[in-house]
Amino acid sequence: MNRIWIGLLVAANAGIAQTAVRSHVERPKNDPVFTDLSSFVASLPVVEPRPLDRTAALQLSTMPLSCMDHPQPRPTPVPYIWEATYTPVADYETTRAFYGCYDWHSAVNSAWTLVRILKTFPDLPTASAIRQKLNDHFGASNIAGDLQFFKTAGTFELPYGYAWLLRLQYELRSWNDSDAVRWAANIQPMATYMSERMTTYLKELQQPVRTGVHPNTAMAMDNALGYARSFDPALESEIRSSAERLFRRDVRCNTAAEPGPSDFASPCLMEAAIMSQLMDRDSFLPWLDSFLPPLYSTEFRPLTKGLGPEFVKNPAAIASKSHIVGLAFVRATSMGELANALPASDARVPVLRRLAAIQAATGFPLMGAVGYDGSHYYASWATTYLITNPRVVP
Amino acid sequence: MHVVRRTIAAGLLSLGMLSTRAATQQPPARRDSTPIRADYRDLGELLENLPTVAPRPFDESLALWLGALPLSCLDRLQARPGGRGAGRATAPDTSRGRNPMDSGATARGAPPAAANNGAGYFWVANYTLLNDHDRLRAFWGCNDWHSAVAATWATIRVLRTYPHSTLNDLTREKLNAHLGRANLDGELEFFRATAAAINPIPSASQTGLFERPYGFSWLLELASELHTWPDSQAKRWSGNMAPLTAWMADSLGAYFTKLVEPIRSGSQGNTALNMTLALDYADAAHDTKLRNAVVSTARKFYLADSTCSTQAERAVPAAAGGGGRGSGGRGPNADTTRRAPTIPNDLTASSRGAPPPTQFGGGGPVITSPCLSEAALMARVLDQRAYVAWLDRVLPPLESGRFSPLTEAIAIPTGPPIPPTPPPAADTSPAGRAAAAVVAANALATERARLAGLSFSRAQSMERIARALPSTDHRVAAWHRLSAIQAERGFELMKDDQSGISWLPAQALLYLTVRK
Repeated sequence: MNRIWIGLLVAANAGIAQTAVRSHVERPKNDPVFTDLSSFVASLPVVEPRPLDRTAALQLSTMPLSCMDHPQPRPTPVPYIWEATYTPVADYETTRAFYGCYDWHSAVNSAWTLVRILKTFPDLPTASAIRQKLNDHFGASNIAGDLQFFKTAGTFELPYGYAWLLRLQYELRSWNDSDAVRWAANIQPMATYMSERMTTYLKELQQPVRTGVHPNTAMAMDNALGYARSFDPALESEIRSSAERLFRRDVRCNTAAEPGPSDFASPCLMEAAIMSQLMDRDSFLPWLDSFLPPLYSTEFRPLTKGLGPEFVKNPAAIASKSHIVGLAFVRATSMGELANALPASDARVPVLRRLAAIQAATGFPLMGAVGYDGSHYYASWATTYLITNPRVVP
Repeated sequence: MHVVRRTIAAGLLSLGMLSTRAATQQPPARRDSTPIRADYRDLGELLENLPTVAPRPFDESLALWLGALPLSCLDRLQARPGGRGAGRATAPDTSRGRNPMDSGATARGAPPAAANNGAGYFWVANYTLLNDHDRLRAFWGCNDWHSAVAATWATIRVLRTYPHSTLNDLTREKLNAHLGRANLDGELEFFRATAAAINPIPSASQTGLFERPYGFSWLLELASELHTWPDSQAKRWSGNMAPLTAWMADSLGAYFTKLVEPIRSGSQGNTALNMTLALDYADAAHDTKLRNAVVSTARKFYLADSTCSTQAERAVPAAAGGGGRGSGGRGPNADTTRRAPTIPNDLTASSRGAPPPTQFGGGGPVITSPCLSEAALMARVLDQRAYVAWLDRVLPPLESGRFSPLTEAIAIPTGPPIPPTPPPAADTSPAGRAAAAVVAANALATERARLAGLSFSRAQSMERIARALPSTDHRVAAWHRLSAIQAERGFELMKDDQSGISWLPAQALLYLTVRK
């Protein structure tokens, strides 16, 4: 997403990604201890889920609209002996699709956000601006250029960006709209390519990636699942068997290690969320109980820990930790997905919805706090969260 | 009787491996399926079955060989970044094999050809050589920064061992050109700027800092060599290096202290490997701050370890599973392979760890033994009694089947390793076949060099372990023999080497230095 992402790439390439330093936030001594769900719920602030209404849709669409054509930042390496000067690739407006919004995957998820919002509110006053933007970026030559690039780019954007591309394509192909049909046809060769690569990637993965950032395996599966279920049985079957192989035996997730300093997602919640969608309910419920501590327990607390006041008061602190705002929305998404998977009568459902709403409520006011560092992707995860709650989507 | 027992044991072991594989649905091609041999009765039986290999003498001809190679690369410019837009084709460099040590560490903004970082998607780079690079930089040859540092160190080791050889003047001239005041000040300025670009707050977490830890560790090894060399020129070079050395010692100590968990893969990022090099410096230069940082972190990471899975260290082709434990395992170096496949996978204390090697090519090639590197480090951290007790717990007995991958010389590869992903489409034209043959030959050369480096690294660790044991310990002779076996295979693989010129001599010399 931004500097942290680049840093991670460098770290991963150097084989030292394990150096990420995890800061354990000390829990105040007087943190209350709960022994049941009802007393825990009583302690929570009452936060109503924000509806995805026209106002919210307009607000959310402004961020991707404003970044889609803001080119990725020019690299600024410190030269050792080779000094570089950079120029944009020739004809990028016709040979590249996702060159805005800070980086490739953020451009893809910003495009997804525009599609999802336009699909839900086709008569927004900004609808034609959104259509024009998508039309410019989803041209046949733009996508062909991207596909050609990716065929020579190794594992670049695998799995995070690939999974988002599949999610975008799922949204387009499940939309009865003449523009969307044309765009989907343009994108399909790239979706097919990425789906195949993703299938192989999962098949060969010997252990899941459990970080709270982009390479997380559960997150990739979740983002790709909609497309896989609807359009690609081979990918769906690989997601199922990989999840079985990589996650099924897991017990007692290490909640104490969350959140890591640059996490924008909760590894424990994401794993629970993907398993909730893959396992049948009878096996999922006992699995969940052995995997996550009870919602009211002290052990669960790290997964709900909000932003400290020092962040809210200090925009500079947020800027260097732009992921922490994303974390609020992504956690809320996982909680919402979990709530969707539990039986409606399960007492945890309203609690998860409330916890999700509390998370999101800390995120919404901060969406503009760090400018482009956040606006290039916050709207995508905020929208993703909102649509996990069927009651707030028209 | 033995035969029967061994067959049963081997059968059980192979069954165990098969059921593990079935349960986890690992692709068969990615596992070394040959069962390990059964236990020997005792150390005596092991020694009987080991080939008699005497340590190769460090004579003048070996010194000339090992000294000539770094001299040949120190002034060879590190490659212009070869990605798209670098002003040249993206075809692999066919003039020489790629250095396996390269893949882990590339300069910021200097991706190798076919980089996985998206270079060239929107911004196309055009590269020019830094003005006065030979005046403002010290380690700009030998393929990459850490190899240039190690090669510099190697020339000094040779010179100090044979001060009157014909290499004397050549070497001093090179050192003078590279270790001038302006060169090293330029290096420090570069590293300060690089660190600030990651995080402007000094000594804050600078994750992903270029060449940290491996290059930094080698620079400290070089600094300790100069520091202990009673020579008027060396004193000047050492003084020129002092600010950079201090900065890197400080930065590396902070890096170790802030690590949440050690890197246990066999790549150049391996924490124990880097800590051992750092201790060489800390002891030579009496840097107690760095020594304390290393010792306390090493105790925290390794003191409570259980049995290391030496059986997983059989050298397998690079792409097949990353070469033994190269995949950056979850949690401690513990032996997990004998665990029943159906028991729950308790994540309570799990690391969230590094991405596996398929992730952005992370992990890097295996160039060191994780188990032996750790054991070599702890030899410097614990007193002798505590060390012997720790070693007895953490390493399986030398005569055991589980230790056998480390008693055997690494097999000489005859073909290139299996590529991690199949090539897109075979070009069947004559030119295409010729190009493919060159690529395969380079891959084989690279693999041979990697295995030579791994052999020397094992030999070096074994010597360090042998020297830490009480002289009365009956295992000392076995460790020396095992070390000689590994080193000899290293020299064999290094003969006619075309790929490891920039870094292998330093690995050989490090072994010879420890053995001294």
